[in-house]
Amino acid sequence: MSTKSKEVTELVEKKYQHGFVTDIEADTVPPGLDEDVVRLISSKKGEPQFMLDWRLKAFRHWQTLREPNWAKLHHPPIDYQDISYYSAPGQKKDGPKSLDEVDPKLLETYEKLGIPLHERAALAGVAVDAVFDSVSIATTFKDKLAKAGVIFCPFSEAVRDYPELIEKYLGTVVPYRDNYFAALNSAVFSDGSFVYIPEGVRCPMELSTYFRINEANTGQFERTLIVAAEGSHVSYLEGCTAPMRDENQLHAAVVELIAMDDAEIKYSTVQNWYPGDENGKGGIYNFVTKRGDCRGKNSKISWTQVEAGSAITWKYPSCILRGENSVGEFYSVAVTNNLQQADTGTKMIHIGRNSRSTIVSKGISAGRAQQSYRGLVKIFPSAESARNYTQCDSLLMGKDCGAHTFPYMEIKNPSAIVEHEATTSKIADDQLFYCRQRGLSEEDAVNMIVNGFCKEVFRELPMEFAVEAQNLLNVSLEGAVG
Amino acid sequence: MNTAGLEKVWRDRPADWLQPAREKGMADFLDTGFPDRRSEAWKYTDAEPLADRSQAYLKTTPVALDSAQLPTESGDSLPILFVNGRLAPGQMLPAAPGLQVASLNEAPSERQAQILSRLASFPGRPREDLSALNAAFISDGLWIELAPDTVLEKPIEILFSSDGAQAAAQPRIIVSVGADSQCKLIEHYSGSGAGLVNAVTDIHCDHDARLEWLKLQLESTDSLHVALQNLSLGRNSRARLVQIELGSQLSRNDLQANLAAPGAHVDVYGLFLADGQAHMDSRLEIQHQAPNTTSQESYRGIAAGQGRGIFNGKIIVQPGADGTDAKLSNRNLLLSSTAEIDTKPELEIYADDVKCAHGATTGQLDETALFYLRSRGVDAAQARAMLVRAFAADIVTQIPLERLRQQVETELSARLARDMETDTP
Repeated sequence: MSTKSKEVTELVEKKYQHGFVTDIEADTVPPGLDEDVVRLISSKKGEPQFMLDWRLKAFRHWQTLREPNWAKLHHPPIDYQDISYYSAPGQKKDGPKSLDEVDPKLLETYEKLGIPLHERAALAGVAVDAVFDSVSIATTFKDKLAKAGVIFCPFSEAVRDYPELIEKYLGTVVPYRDNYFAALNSAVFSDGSFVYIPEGVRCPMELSTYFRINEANTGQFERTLIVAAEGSHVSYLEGCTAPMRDENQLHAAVVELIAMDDAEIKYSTVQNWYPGDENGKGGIYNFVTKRGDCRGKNSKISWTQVEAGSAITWKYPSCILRGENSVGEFYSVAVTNNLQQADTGTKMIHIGRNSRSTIVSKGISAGRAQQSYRGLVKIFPSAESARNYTQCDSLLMGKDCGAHTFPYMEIKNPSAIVEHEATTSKIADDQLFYCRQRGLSEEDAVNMIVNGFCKEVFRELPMEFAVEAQNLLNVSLEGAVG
Repeated sequence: MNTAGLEKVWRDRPADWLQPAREKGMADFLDTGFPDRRSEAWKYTDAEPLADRSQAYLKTTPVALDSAQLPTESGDSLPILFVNGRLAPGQMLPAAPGLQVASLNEAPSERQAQILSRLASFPGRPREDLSALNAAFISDGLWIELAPDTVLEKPIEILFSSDGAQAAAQPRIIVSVGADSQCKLIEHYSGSGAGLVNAVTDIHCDHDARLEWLKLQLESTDSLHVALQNLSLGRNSRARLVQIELGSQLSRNDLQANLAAPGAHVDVYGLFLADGQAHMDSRLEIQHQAPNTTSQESYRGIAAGQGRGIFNGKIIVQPGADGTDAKLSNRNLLLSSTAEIDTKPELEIYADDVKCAHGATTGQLDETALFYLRSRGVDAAQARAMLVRAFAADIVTQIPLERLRQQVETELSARLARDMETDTP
C-alpha cells in the first residue's frame, strides 16, 4: 500500500508539461462582448457581408439562450463579459507567406510542444495548420495539397478565397441555433481550418491542426469545416494545449463535417488542454460541438478522440447518418484525474436505410475526478435495418472518483438492432499481482493494463498519434492505483 | 399546470387523523405541481393526462360500492380487496401469528403515530414522482407489520380494483418486515373503465429478512396508472421483486430499492407489453448505499401496435459502497413500425472497488427461429406469438404464485395473438 500511496502522490504532483507561456506581442481586444465586438472581429478578418450578417444573427440568438445545465458538471458561473474574444499574435499585417516569415518565438513554442513543423511535416508527411490563440499561424504543405486539388487553409483565408463554398456549407451541420456554445462560437469565432476534398480525391497526406491558447483572459473559438465530395477520403488530426494559468479559460469550438456519396472522413483528436492544478485551480473549460453529416450514400464518418486535458470537457461528437448505407463511428478514451470533470459521448442519428454505427468509449477516472458518458442512439422510422453497437467501459482509480453512464436509445423501426453494453470496475488486484510476479513494476503493470483497456480505441488512431496518446495516458495516470 | 383547483378541492376535504401527512404532501406538491417534460425523469412521458384526470377525479372522494364481490380465500393467498382505492366494505383483514394488518382509514389510534412518522420520512421527489400528491389525497391503504422471526407462508395479495367509476384511487401501503422474517406481498391491479390510480408502497426490511414482492398490473386500456415503490433493505436481507405491466393506456412505475446495509441483496425482474395505444414507462433505481451489497436486474419490454415502451434503469453506487456487484440487463422487442422503444440504462458510480455492468438491446424476432417454426408448419402469426411468449417467459416464470403465472400467460397469449394478426409485416 505504501508504494501505491507514494505513486499516487507522485501522480498528483505530476506537472502539466505544456504549461509555458510564449512571450510574444499580441493584438488582443479588451474583454467584453457586444455587437460591436462581433463587428470588430468580422472587420479584422476582412469578411464579406454575409459572414457578418450570420455572426450577428448568431449573436442575437445567443443572447436569448441560457447556458445548459443538464450535464453532470459543476463550475462557477462563467462571466462572458470578462473574456477577450479576439487575440492574434502581433505580426506583419499580411500574415506569413511561408514558415520563414512566422515569428521564430512561435515556432519555438511548437518545438516545445513537440510539434516541430518542419521536421514533423517532412517526416510524418503531415500537413499542419496551427492555430495560436485565435489566429491560424501557418499551414504547411499547401503546395502539395493544392496539386491534388485539396483546399486546406485557415478559415479566415477560406472566407476570403472561397466565399461561395463557405456560404454553401457553413452552419449546415451545426446551425448557429444549435446550442448555447455553438451560437456563441458562431458569433465570435476567430479562425479555424477549412478543408475541401474534391470529387474522387484521396487526400495525399494526413491533415492536422494544433490549437494553443496563449494569452491570458482570452477565449478560443475556432471553427473547423471539412467537406468531402463524392468518393473522396481524408484523415484529419487535431491537437490542443494551453499554458498554466490560475483562472479558467473558455474554449468553445465547433467542428462540422460533411461527407457526400462514398466519401470518408476520419477525424482524430488528442485533447490535452491545461487541466488545472491538483486543487482544481485553473484549467480550460472545453465546450465543444462536433458533428458530422453523412449526407451521401455509403459515406462514412469516424470520430476518434483521446481526451486527457481540460478542467471541464463537454463534448459529444456526433454523426447524422442520413445517407443509405452510411456508417458512423465513435472511438473515445477519456482520462480524468485530480478535479477534472468530463461529460462526453456521442449521438448517432440513424435516418438512412442500412445505416450502421459503432460506439466504443473507454473512461478512466482517477483522483477526485468525475466522468460521464452520455450518448444517444436514435433510430428513425425511415432507418430500415439500421444497426448500432455500443460499448462503454469505465476504469476507476481511487475511492473519491466517479464514473457515470447515461446512454439514451430511442428506436422507432422494428428492423433495427441496437445493442448497448457498459461495465465499470477497477484494476483487479489479481491482474496487478500477475504482472508484478512476472517482474513488472507496479507502474509498468498499471500502464500496461490501462493501455490494454484502451487498445480498441488507440488502434483507430493514426500511428504517430497513437504513440503520443499512449505516452499522454502514461503521464496522466502513472501509478494511480489506490 | 394549474394546481389552484386541486388546492381548493384539498382544502374542502374534511380533516382526518392523516392531516399532518396530507399537509406536508400538499405543500410539497404545490411547490412543483405536476412534473413536465423538462424534468429528465419525464423526458418520454407527458404527465398532462394524469394532471387532467387528477383535477377532474379528485373532486370527489372515491366510494367503494357495497356490492363489491369480496374475494374468497382461494387457499394460495391472503386476499385483501380495495375498490377505487378504498378497502372494500366488509373486507376482513388477514390475521396470523406475528402479523398485524390495519387499514389506514381505520387505523387503531396506538398505530397512528407510527404511520405518520413513516409517511413523514418517505423519500419522495416532488419533481420526479407523484408521491406528494398521493400523500395529500390518500384514499386508504394498509399498514402491514411482520414481527421478527415470523415466516408467513401465504402471500398477502392486495387486489386493487376499479369498478368503472370516475375515481382517483390514491392508496398507500406501508410495510415493515421484521428481522429474520419472511413474507410475500402481491399488488394486483385490475378493473374496468377510465380510472386513475396513483399508488405508493413503502417497504422496510430489517436485517436478515426475506421478501418476495410482485406487482401485477392488468388494468383496463382506458385507465391511467402511476405507482411508486420504495424499498429499504437492512443488513443481509434479500428481496426478489417482480413487476409485470400489461394494462392501462398510460402507465408509469417507479421502483426504487435501497440497499442500505452491508450484505443486502436484491433481484428485480420486470416485463411490460405496450400494444394498442399503450404508453408504458418503467423506471428502476437501485441504490447501493453500503459495502458488499449486490443486485441483479432483468427487464424485458415488448412494444407492438402503436405502443410505446420506455425503460430507465439506474444503478447508483454511493461513496464507500465498496464491494458492490450490480448487473442490469434490459432487452426489448420492437414488433411494429408504429411502435417505439426508448431505453436508458444508467450507471452512477462514486466508489472504486465495484463491479457494475449493464446491457441493453432492442431488436426484432430472430429470423432463423421464425423460419424453423414456419418450416415445421406453424403459421407466421402463431410462430411470432410463440417466440414473443418465449421472450417473456424468462420473467413470467419468476412469478411466485402458480395461479397468477397462468393468468399472465393466458393474458399474454390472447393479446399477442391479436397483436400478431394486425402487426404481421
